[in-house]
Amino acid sequence: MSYVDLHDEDETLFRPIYETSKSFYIAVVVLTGVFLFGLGCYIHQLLYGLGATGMDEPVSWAFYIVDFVFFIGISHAGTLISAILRLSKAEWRRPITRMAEVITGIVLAIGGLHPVIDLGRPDRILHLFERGRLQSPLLWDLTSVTAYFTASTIYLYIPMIPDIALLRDRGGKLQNLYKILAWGYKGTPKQKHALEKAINILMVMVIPIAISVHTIIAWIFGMTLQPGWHSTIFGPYFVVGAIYSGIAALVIVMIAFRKLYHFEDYLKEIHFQYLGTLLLVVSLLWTYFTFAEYLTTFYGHEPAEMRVFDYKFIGAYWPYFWLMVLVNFVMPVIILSNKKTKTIKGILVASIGVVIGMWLERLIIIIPTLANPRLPYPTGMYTPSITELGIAAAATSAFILGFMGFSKIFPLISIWETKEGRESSVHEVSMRLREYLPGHPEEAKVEASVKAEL
Amino acid sequence: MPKYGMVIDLNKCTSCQACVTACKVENNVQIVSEDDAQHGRAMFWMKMLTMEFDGDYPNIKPKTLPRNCMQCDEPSCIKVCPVRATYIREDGIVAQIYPQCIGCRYCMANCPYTVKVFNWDRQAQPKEVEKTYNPDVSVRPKGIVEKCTFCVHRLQDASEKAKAEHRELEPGDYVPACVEACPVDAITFGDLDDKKSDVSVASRDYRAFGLLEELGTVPKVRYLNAIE
Amino acid sequence: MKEKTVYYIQLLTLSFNWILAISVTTWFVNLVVISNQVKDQQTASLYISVFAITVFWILAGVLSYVFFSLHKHAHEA
Ligand code: SF4
Ligand code: SF4
Repeated sequence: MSYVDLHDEDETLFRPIYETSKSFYIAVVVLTGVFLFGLGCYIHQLLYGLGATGMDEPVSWAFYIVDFVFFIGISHAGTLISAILRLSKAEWRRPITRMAEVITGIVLAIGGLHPVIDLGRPDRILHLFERGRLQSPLLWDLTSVTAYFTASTIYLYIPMIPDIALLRDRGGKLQNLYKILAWGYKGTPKQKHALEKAINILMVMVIPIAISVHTIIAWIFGMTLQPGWHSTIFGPYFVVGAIYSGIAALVIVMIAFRKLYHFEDYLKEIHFQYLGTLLLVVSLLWTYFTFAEYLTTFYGHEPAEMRVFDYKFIGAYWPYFWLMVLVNFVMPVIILSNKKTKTIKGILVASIGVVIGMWLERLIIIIPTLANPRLPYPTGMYTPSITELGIAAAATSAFILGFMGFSKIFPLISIWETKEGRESSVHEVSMRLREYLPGHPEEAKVEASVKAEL
Repeated sequence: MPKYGMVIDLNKCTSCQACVTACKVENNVQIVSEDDAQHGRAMFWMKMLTMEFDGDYPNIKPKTLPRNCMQCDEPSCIKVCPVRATYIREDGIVAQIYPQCIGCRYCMANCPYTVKVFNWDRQAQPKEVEKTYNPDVSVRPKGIVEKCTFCVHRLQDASEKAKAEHRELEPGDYVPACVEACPVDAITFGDLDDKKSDVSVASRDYRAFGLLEELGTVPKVRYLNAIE
Repeated sequence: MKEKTVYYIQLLTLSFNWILAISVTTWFVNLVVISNQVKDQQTASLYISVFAITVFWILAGVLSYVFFSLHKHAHEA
């Protein structure tokens, strides 16, 4: 079916749903291939056992758990950031929130599967439901990830209802699906009001859930007795890291789809400037946490802790550690604090660096501790096997595929919010501004409404 | 209820590793392939650890220590298990329920002694080994965690036997395989709560110490320091 | 598709959320009972389950609120 231009103001936002280019199909084929390869790797692992991985003793948790923490971290891009931006009434959020929320939904589903991939006996997973023990941090994790997934899917869906209604009213493809999902939305004032109310409740709820998710993941490590893990700072440290990698991933996705679907008019330079500033702030915050964590360890100089510390700083993991410092601290700070380099390209480079760096950070937290047990065992060097790499590649391509699939069914930028911004926010914001200023707000309100009528 | 414990005298121990072998045979512990062994996946419930090297090359005197599961009274492995595949019995033995374990390896990550071993895969065992399997101990499938259980099957045997003979379980009725195998009687085993038993006396010796006791795990396997 | 069918499918999808909330609740009650039996940390288990159960019920509630008010007000000006 060819694309009908209905001459909407925001036609660009509808276009990707109805028009598909050739390169899109090629990408789908390639990514599906990678995904199938990863699936094959997993089946091999199922049949052969976890021996197919590079894990050993004492490094009994490795790639899968690193990826698990990493993906769940990325998922904080979305819902958390979008909720914070909505809550603080940041007007520039409008074209960003939808993409952020989609990232959360997809990545959370993928990340949440990783512990299952990591199980030695996935066939016994139901034991968690029959006779799980709530005192184990793994169960807390299961609970909070499920809660976060449910909450963020609902939080993605409800603000999307008006857009689905728009799509439904256009007619054409997937009529029935839109009809079902639009929930009879017609845009009456009362409907709008109900929707707004629900969004408000959700965004207040989603923030503590999101924070709890990553705190609990940190506690999986923090609750153990192991050197390098047993630290009170881990909860907030992981949350900051999660937001950090989340923003970076969001920037990458935004830039990619801006290019792909020609959203230049909606995602302007200014949006990236703001996100870049946010990234810079979180970068400094992350550095502060990292510094605090390692300095206290070093000053305490406990032998078991120091072995892990040395392993990271000068031992086998030094290249990873210092690379992480480079791409997580030095590079973003230099790029983002300099006007000349803080362009869209510069921000993209910094973001890619941060995503890699945050993956390394998870690696550096998890493996050195396991590789240096308290008692004198031979410390092995862990290298991932093809199986693990294949599954990681499959997870990444599943993410991209999911995102691409989503963009073919739903608009990637919230259309009604853009319209709303155009129609009423300019007026609202100027009124809000008047309220901040000295003088009587009442007068200002009257004045503003008079102006609006004119 | 008795509280089983063990004291290993490092003065007597000659590092002959008889206990290591006895344990492996007694408990049908899997023999892994050479590849896996090189990869650090060799499975031992009892292991000889080299704690430190005294002296200069070539006159090195390694200090060794046989290490099984410490059977902690406050075990950190149990705290984190999501399905109660590992639990502490009333007689203090930290046991493992193989059909329950989902293989998440959280307990491995949290045991400060790195005691637990995982069945990364299941290899065909040599014929001779299969013939000599201990019928009292189940052969573990791939994907689950296992560790020293103080040969809990022997306790079962012993108490059934005592019951059949209409008597109480006596000290010496039940000893793990490693204790039995030790040629120099370096390992004492028995009821720690019975103040007059050999283990209890030995565990209060001035040379007695527990590995990494400072972590608060309260190990029930204790050592007598080697003194020249 | 007929209006009626659409409505029933919508109700069906909505009910999934309630099924989720209810099953989470039963699951947690089950776990708390188990933790009682095996003498685990009951207080911890109780706190977590109370927290989780509320979250899921509120979520299901919000979703139903949106659903029913959208349908109620669909025909008003
Ligand atoms: S030594 Fe490790 S495996 Fe054994 S009881 Fe203690 S914590 Fe558990
Ligand atoms: S590996 Fe098995 S015994 Fe260990 S924590 Fe997981 S389920 Fe429990």
